[in-house]
Order: sequence, then C-alpha cells, then structure tokens
Amino acid sequence: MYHNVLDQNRSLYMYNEALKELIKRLKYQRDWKIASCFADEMNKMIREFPAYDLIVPIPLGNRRLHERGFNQTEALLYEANLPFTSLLARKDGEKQSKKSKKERIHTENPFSLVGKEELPGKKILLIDDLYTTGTTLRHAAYTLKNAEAKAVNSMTIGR
Amino acid sequence: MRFVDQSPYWIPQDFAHENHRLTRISETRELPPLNIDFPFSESLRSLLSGRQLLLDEVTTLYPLDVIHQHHLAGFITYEPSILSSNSKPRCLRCHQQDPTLFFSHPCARCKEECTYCRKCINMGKASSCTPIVLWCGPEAPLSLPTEPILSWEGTLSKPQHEASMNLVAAIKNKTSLLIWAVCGAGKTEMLFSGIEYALSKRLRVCIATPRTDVVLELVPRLKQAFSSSTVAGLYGGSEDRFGSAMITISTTHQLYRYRHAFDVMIVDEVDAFPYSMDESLQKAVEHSRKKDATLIYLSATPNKSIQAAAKRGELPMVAISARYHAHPLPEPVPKWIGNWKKSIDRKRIPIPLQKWIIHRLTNQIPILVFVPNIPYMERLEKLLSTSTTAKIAAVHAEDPGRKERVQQMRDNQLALLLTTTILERGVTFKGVEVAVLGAEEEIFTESALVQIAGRAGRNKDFPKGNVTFFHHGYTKAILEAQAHIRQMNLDAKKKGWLLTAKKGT
Repeated sequence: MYHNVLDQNRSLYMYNEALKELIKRLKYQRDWKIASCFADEMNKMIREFPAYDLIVPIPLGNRRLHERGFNQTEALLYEANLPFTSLLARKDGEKQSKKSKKERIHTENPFSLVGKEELPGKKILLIDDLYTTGTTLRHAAYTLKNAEAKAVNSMTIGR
Repeated sequence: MRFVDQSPYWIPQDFAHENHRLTRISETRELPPLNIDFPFSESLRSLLSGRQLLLDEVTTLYPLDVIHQHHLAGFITYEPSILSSNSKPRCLRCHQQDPTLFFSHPCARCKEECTYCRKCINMGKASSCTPIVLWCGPEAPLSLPTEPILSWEGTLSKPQHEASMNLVAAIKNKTSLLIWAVCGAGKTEMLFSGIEYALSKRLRVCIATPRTDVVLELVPRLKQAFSSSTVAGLYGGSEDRFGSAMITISTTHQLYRYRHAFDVMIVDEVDAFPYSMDESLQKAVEHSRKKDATLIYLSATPNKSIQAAAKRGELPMVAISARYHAHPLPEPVPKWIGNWKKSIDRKRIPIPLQKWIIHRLTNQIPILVFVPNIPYMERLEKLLSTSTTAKIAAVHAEDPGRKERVQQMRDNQLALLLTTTILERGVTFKGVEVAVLGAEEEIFTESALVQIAGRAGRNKDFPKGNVTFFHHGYTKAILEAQAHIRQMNLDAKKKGWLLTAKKGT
C-alpha cells in the first residue's frame, strides 16, 4: 500500500555519532539554535532538488509538540529561511525512537490532512530530521498522494 | 507553561477557565500567605527545600495539581528562570547574562517568542515560560546522625591537626577560611572534625569541586567516615540527583539546582578549571550557600586574587606546608632541552629527555611525562614505542579509555604514561617520577607546575621522587613554581613539621 508513494528521498548526512549528538541536543535538550547549523547545507541541497510547489514539514503530535516546545523540522526550515506550509497533522503515538524496526514498519498511518491548500496536481517536498526506515515519510507521502498530490519527494538531515 | 495571574497566586493553564488571560511568570512576587494547617507533602518538601528546580523537573516527579495545592497554601512560590529586563536576558538559575548564550524561538507552549539559556541547558531548559519552583514553607529540620558521628579512627598529622582546629573554629564562628595545603597534605582528613562538629549542630555541609573524579573519590571516603549520616554525590549523570543529604559532595555545576541550602560550604580546588574561569560557577557557589554560611576554600595552589585577599587579611588563612608523611616536597629540577619540537618533528626523542627516561626504565621506576598538547604527545608516544619494549600509554581529556589506562598505571602494568595537564591533579602513582616536556609552554602555569610536581613523592616509602622540568627557556611560571615549593618546604621546616628537621636536632 505504501510502496512507491515516495518518489525520492535525499539526505544531507549519513547518520553518525556527531549527527546523533546534534540531533539529541536539538530534540531532547530542546536547543533550537542547533537547527541553524544545517541552514546552509539545506539550502544548497534544496536548490538541486526537482522542482516543487510546496515545502511540507513532518509534524509532531500535539502532546509531543507541547513537551518539546517546538517541532524540530519547522525549526530547521525556520533557521534555513525556507517558507513552508503545514498541511499535515499527526496523532500522538509511541516515540519512533522507542520502537523496533519491525514495529515502525507495521504501524498504522498517523497522518491526516489539515490545511485548505489545493493539493491536486501539486509537487510536494517533505522535510524531516531523520530517515530511518522511511515509514514516517511514506505514511505522510501516502496521505498527500491520496489527496492527489502529483509528486512527493523528501529531504532529511540524516539517514 | 502559562498561568492566570491572580495576584499573589499563579493558576496553571490546566486549571484555568477558558476566558482567563494566560501569561508567563515574568517577575518574582511576594510570598503567598502561609496556611499552617495545610497537610503538606514531606517528600515534596525534602525535594524542594534549599533547591531551585525548574517546573519541568518537578512535574516529572509530582502531578501539577499537587504542586498547585502547595502553592495555594503558601508552601511553594514561583519565579521566572529567564528574566528579561530592557530586552537583556539574565538566567536566574545559572546567573549568566552573556547575550550570545541566549536564543529565542517561537514556542508551542507559551505561543510567544521564548528566550532560553544555552549555558545550563544540560540540566534542563530554563526558558521564558519555564518558572523556577521554590519551597517557602517551613524548612525540614535536619536530623541528627547517631553517635559516634565520626567513625574514622586514624590520627592526624600535626599540620592536619592545625588545619582541623582552624576549620572547627571557622564553622563555630561562621567565618571564612582559606586552607592552603600542599599536595599530599591529606586534605580530606583535615575536614573530618569540622564536618563532625557541623553535623552535631544539624548544619548542612557541602563539599563542592569542579571535578567529577574528585566527587567520585570523596563519596566513599566520607560515607565510611560518617557512616550514620547521609552522603550524596552529585555530578552530571549521577543517580541521587534529587536526594537530600546531611553531607552533599557536588560538582560546582550541580549547584545550579540549589539555593540557600548549605550552612557550611567547602570549595575544593578553587583554582581548578572550569571553576576558576567561569564566573557563573562561582555565583552558583554563592547562591547555593546560606547567606551566613561558613565558606571554606581548600587548595594547594590558590589563585592570585584569593592569595591577595588572604594577604590583606580579608580572608583568614592557614598554610599547611607539610605533607602527611612529613617529608619535604620534591623540588623540581629545571633542565634545558633546546628546541624539543624540532627534534620531535624530525622523529628524534630530545636527548636529555631520552637519557632521563632510559635511566628510570632500567631502574624500573614508573614514569609520568607531561606534554603540552595532544599532537606532540601522540608523536612522542610513537617515537618511544619504537625505541623501547617497555609498556607505554598516553591519556588526554577526550580519551574514552582514560580511566582504564590510569588504573593500569596504578597497578604497575605500565612503565610510562604520557599525559596532558588532565592528570595534573588528583592522581597518585606509587613511586612515580615526573618529567614535564616543554615546561615553558603557556599551558604550564605556576599552579599547573606546582600540582604536577605534587604528583611525586606522595608515598611514605618513596618520599623523594625526581621532578624535572625540561624547558626551552625559563618562564615566570617555572621560577614561581620553584619558589612556591621551596617556600612551602622552608615554612614546614620552620614550623618543625618535617622529619628531617627532627633528625637534625
């Protein structure tokens, strides 16, 4: 069902110890300023991307958003000066990082559409901090394609 | 979190009616009136007394409505953690106000631009919408340890006894004191009588040190000496972070969580990095002690400003110039080594150092070599390991295997250990002799050199240990370190604290 819904993903970095540390500071210590480290590289990569109409960040569930105080993906876009449209909402679930790989792949799609933006025929660029199994991005892409988005590509900081 | 302002109370948004205006706690208020009959929580009191925790930290342990009931009864008050006046932020937890250490972002919690402190963020995020929780109800009475309070049965040396008497007097009179004690004087034992006296008067004692390894070393020793008292060890990642104890041994960083808590504050190694370089850590020591607390500075190498305060008579001082074993401190021997960097760059061990090392390797004397930086240390390690079969290792601050290597050196499994200044303090290797390569380098300050020299001769069976400063030109620091050590030995001799002085009579 989620096969081939995501057209392509590109990531800035291989996931390594240094990146792990930075993402930890950003998400769990809630140090927003870390997001600015990636601004230049994000802009560079985004210029080389296939054309898109809208940038859509992967959202957090309400409870998680309140805990963290901000959505790290929006912080990344905000610091990179990249305008974005929040088209998705997300149900709170178990933390992705607490789940096993298998559990992640077989979870139900937590995303739904908000925003009044006319999706049909639009090319979407999804943004997330990490690409691990790709399930999150495929779920989001599925939701967007279901609403007749024409293309969905994604970019993450780490993979 | 946001609150409804119903002065003097703050009603958390979770308990507010929909039409109330929500705001952040942006000022310190007078205390809400105290309801003496309120059945307060003992465990919450022991968590909060003498502390300044972020609301986020407290809500991980207690439900918000319990906290709120205590606030309404006047047992808990709030204050902002970030104070912004004239758009210049200040962190009320770590007391810093460097604009580059703050950052702001749109916040999903307070729906406003929210400023936070990046300096103390390792201990939880202090931000415009995260208040500090303070206990303002009656303080928990400190319980009395059962007799005997002090279960240590060793004896103090004469100089230790002198320091000990001065310390007890300072605690009795609530005055400050600098204990200037040479490396190997036996600082910990000097504290025992003073701590015993404090505990007998139900006073809360804190020993603060900039270094985690010192906390780790002191906790078991104090637990053993004060077996009927509670002892807490606090450092980054420690278990009993929120415990309340009669004796608290803490890194200076962890004191950010305390306010007006301690009656006796003993600051160990006041001159050690990062405390000496970081004003906010010094303020943490100030804020965590009670206003009339006894303040004790303990150091082998107090910095110039503390020395000056002692000289002017503002800070009473006792100098403990002799080691526990009553042998004089080994006086360092300066030795010209020429352009040692060039030699190493050409893959040659500088000859004076090579001779010094070979002599000790053949006599099976353990060797500690201090090197000013990691690149030269690594090059020297390579050169040495190709020219000898003896077991050699190197350690530096970032080295994940540091603990193991230091332990191997203690267990005599290594013949030679190369190190940066990371091992200048706190380590004891039996019978070790010490070389400093490039003693003229800036990193080798007077106090670093005195501490380094203090690694030698600590064991009473090997009290002499050679210390050589290999240098490419004298510096003020080298001369001052020599003078410092010589002065201490003279003072000890004059006071009759040295064994050799006794033999002479």
